[in-house]
Amino acid sequence: MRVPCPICGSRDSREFYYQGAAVMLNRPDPGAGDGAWDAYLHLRDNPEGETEELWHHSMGCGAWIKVTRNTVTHVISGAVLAREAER
Amino acid sequence: MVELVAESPGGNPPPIEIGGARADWITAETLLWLSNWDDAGASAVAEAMGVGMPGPGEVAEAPGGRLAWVGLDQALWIGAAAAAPVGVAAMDQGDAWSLVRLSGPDVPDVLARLIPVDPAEIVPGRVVRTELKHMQSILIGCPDGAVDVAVFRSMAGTLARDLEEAMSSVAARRMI
Repeated sequence: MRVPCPICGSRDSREFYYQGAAVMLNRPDPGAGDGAWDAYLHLRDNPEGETEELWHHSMGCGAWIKVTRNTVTHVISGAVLAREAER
Repeated sequence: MVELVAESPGGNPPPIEIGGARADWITAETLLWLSNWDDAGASAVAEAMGVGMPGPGEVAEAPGGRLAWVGLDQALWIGAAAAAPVGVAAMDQGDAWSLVRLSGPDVPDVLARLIPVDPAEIVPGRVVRTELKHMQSILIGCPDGAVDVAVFRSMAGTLARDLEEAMSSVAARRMI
C-alpha cells in the first residue's frame, strides 16, 4: 500500500503511523459540553466508502497528513498536510 | 597537551568491505539541528552557513559543510563548527547521530535490501528520510554514487549488523 505524502511523494505505508478518523482535527470548544466531547473522543462512524483519516509520516518527514481513503476499494484519492487541511 | 581524536558517536568500528560495497564511519565537527525559523532566522542561517534553507529533499552545499533538509520545517547542518544563528531553534546533535558513508558499485543493491525507497532517488544534492530496516534514517546523496547514512547513535551497532548482512547477501548473489 502506498501513501502519497505531500512532502515526500509516494511512500510505502510502513513509513506511516495510522492515527484514525480525521475528526480529531475538529476539536470542540472547551465549554462545548459532555455530549460534544464524548462524541469527539469516542464516537466514530464506520463508513463504507470514502473516509478521511490522519496519518503520521513517522519514519519520514514527520508531517501529519489528512488522507482520503476508500474503505471499499482501498484507493487513496488525496492527501494534504493536516495543518493546511480545511477545518 | 593531549591530542583529542574525533570519534564517531557510534565509536570507531572498523570499516566494513564486502563485495562491491564499503561502509566507513565518518565524523562531522558539528551537527546542528535547525527548526522553527522565520524569515529573519533563514537570513541568519544564510549569513552563518553561506546557504539558504533547503527545500524538501534538498541538500545545499556550503563552503564549510552541508545543510540538509531532514523533515517538515527542519534542517541539519553537517560540517564545520558554526555558531547557532539567531531566530532559529538550533540544537547541537553532534553526539546523537552515527554517520556512515556507503561507497562502491553495489551501494544501490545494498540499499534496496534495507529501505522502501528507490535508491536511484538518492543522488548528489538530494536527501531522503525513510525507514532503514526498522530505524529512522537520513540518507544523503554524495558524489560517485556514495551515500551518507545517519541513524540514531544508540542504533549504530544495529546499523553495522544490518549493513553487513545486506552487503553479504548482495555479494553472495554476485557469486551465483
